[in-house]
Amino acid sequence: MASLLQVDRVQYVFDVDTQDSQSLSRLYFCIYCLGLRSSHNLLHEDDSHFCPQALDSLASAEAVSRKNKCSNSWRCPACLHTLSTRATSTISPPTTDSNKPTVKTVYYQSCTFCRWSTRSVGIDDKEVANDAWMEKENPSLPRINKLLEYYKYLEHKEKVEQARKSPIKKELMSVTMQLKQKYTSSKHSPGKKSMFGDSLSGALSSLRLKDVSSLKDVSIDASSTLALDDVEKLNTDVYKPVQFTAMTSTAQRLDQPGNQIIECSDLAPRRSQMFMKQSLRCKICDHNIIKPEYSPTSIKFKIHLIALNHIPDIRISKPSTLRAGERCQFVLSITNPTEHVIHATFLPMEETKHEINAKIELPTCDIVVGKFDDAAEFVDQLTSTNNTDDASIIAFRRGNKVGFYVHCTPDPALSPGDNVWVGMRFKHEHYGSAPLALLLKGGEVEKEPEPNWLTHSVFINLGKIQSSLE
Amino acid sequence: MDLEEIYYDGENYIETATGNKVSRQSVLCGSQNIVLNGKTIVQSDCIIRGDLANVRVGRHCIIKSRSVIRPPFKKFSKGVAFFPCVIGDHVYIEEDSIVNAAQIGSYVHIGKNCVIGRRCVLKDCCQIADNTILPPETLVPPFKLYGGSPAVCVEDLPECTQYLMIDATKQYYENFKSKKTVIV
Amino acid sequence: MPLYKGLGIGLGTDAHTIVLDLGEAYSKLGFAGEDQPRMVIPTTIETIDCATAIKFTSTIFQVVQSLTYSKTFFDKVFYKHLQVNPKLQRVIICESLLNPTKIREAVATVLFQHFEVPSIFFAPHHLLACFTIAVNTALVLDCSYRETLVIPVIENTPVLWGWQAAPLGAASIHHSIMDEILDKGKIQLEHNPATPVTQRLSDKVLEDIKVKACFVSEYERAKKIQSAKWSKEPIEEILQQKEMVYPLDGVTRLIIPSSIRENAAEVLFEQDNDQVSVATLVLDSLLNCPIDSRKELARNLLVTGGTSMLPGFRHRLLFELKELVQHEERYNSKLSECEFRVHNPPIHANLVGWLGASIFATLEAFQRKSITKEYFNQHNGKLPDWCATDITPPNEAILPPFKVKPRLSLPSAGTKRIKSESHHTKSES
Repeated sequence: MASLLQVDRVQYVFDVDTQDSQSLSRLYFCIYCLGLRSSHNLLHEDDSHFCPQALDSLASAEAVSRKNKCSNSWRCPACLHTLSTRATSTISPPTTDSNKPTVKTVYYQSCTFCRWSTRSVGIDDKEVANDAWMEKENPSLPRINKLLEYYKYLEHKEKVEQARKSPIKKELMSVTMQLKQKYTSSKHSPGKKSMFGDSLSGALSSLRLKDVSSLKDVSIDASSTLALDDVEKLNTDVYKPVQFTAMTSTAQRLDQPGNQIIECSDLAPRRSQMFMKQSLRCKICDHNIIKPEYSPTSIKFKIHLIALNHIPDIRISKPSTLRAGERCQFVLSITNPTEHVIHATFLPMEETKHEINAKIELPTCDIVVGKFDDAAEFVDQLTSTNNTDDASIIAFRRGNKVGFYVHCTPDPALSPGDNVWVGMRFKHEHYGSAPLALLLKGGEVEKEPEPNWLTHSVFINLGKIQSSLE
Repeated sequence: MDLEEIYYDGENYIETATGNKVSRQSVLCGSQNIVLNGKTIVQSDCIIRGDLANVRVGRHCIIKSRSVIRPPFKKFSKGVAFFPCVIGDHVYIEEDSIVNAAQIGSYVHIGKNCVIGRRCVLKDCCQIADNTILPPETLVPPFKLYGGSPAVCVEDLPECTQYLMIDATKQYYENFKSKKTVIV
Repeated sequence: MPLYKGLGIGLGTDAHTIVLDLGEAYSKLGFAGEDQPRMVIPTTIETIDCATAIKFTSTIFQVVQSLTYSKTFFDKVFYKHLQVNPKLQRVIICESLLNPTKIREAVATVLFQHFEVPSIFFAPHHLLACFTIAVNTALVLDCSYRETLVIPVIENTPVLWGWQAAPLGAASIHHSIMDEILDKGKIQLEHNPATPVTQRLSDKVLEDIKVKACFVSEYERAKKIQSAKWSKEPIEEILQQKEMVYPLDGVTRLIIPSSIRENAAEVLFEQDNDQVSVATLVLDSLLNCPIDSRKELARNLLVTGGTSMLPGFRHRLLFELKELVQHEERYNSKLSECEFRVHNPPIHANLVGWLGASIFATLEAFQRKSITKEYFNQHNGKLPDWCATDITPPNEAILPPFKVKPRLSLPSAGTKRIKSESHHTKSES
């Protein structure tokens, strides 16, 4: 994996202008524009949302309407881990109808990590497993809704007044039209619609009658102010000993922004946040680069144009000890993921913004890299040595992977512990995409595809400078 | 970076017909209930508790030193029942981790010194960072990196995770060589 | 998601405008018209090993570095926390009026070029705060992480020549907690004898101690604490506990004197060498305001910012104001007639700016005055600002014949003259 193979040590430039680079595993390859792409220069689109605990997925529109929160998965307010529903049976006292005590199952939520449970804060057990839990509402919600209504009204009133002052009837009409469009299209918030229903029709009719006075007033009381005597005084309870464990932390307070709870005894379960599945699209040609399957558990893709499947992967195969100013030998490997034999040519790095602090001597001849073969795994690999190879350049050859020697001299000025970066460019031919692109477009496949030559800039972190004493 | 070659003492490992390499210094309790599907490496001082319930490990898995795989239990009103632990292919479990999961998918990387709680389910292509505590019954979706205590989603993994994991586990197996064969 | 779907809702009306308040310590993220932010997250980029704090507000700011960092940060904001496609959403950002131009331009560059948002609106925090209390004249005090900033707002216009700021905020409280711990605190590992604290504690621990234990003492008590500080005489204990034990991790405990609880926040109110405290900022700001508005401003004090949520803060502030006006020569002559009253906003003090932005973003004025991508590109990545004279702000192009102005007007080119004056006043005082 990323950290196992340390793929971050080899960085491919994906943006020529800014020289931004990333490891090949994080990059994509647009087979239509033949260029490397990163998630930073692709268009993100949300495909579906899913609940991380129940793994049921939702269309994005529905997720938006639910504020991206899961319907039946709850989160511990203390440690933010997912809560588990626990069932337990209780015996209720005999009722008047029957003399026998009845046994019934009740449910509560409990955290498997920090042992917090709805019982510990005195929330009653529920008789239904799901959906019976409520999130706390913001206590000042009515006031905030009133504020929203008031400011909309204010703006509306100004507009109507100005329309009335205007001498040109034509423009008046245009305003009417605009208002009509404006307020009739605001159906995304049903609450507000009913609020505006009256004032809207009132406003429109008043325009026709050129009379603003009939506009229904929305008035609001300015918020209450407190003088010194009214402001809450410091509660003398604060002089009591502090119990750090009974007070909520900042993270716990901010988890419920509307009612920031100060004492742990007031915590209540929260709905968990959903995750999102995204597809990526090329900004230049508008083709999909990544399109995952809909199911949240699937690791398959409908479209999967990752760079690792198209671009030769360069890695450090055998590291060596680096000392400032000393020439040393490395083995780099190049892996060809395509089904065509490729010829890689190495070129020196041009001017770059990236920090480079070592000289690198690259192979001067082309390196032929064998094609990727699915069956290669089952064939004895020892036979694939090629006698024509120059042993001073080629270190090993294994199927579609070739190891080659490079020499590097870190700057003498470097001190032990500094990272050594080298830069290089390499050129290779690329066949795969033309027929594939045609196939996807439904066109004819040519017999002999013309190769495109692609050049990549690569930065490699060879390692840290060792101290000369070792 | 390619993985380096690791040489082990040939006498300390048992190699099975399907290519599993199991350290003699590991404890495999109830070995009749443990299935290693081939080319899996179990390194020294591991404990696999097959005596509690079945343990099935897929192909090309690596279980490094001092890790523990223990099938999860669940409490019922009448006692405790153990459930089998199923691990997919190309799973890499690093040193000192304790795995109580009910199910681990394929292409999963579990870091050093982790605790995977009872009856956790790790889907395909996910990663657990080093020193992570995954509380019991947690579900880790694909392409997510979980870390921390309690574990939360820290990052998304690249879409090529599957390829990288196959590459890493195969390379590890190929480079895991007996000292004896080198001398011969 | 099909493209057309978002275009209808996202650009047409107020729905799903993204409302961001990028604070120095915490960022508030949410959508317009909602009563509370969806998320409040630390303004940091978290990787597995460490959290790198990014500063949208600090003055020491490396723009190049921030570009990469803020890309990663906004990636998280849009795709992980808000789960939206930023290309389809307008954005409103609540910012301090004193936010350096370079920073807002850096943020705008990232949002426009990288995330391709259709429009951004930078709105001043102090003005937005007034929307939450439905008044158009108020004296707004924002006590945030690094500084306290007072700006009077008269008839919905921030009066820049009345600004007063001082580096008093959460950071200074953390600093004074740390000082006292270094002085008197002890660390105990399991049952070993306690040893003095030698290393600085992380900001997270200090913040935790602050929110869980600290409070602002009442005026009389505070005077005793302050005089005891100079005379070194012990004062009567008011706290029922002499030392408190704070668990650092499973095995280490921090033993700290309880006096930290009442002493820490004093740094906000004790006047420093320049005779500046949170209370004098309010009064100095009033002195800079036109005489006829002072009474009303004093009656409409609005306290915002996370630091002002310490227990006892507002009571102490009002008390300090009363005492200063009564006894200090410099205020007595001019402000003795003022009665100070403080507002009760409908949301916690740390979210007031966000809520104001959420309310404002539902209005049409917001859409008209937003900076569009085209406008940003036309002006070579420069933003209109009260201190930028060469750029005209986007005008009301949608409704040319009717200029909607008076009530909801925001600072535009008209306020730029004030800037030079404010500098003038500042240097005098």
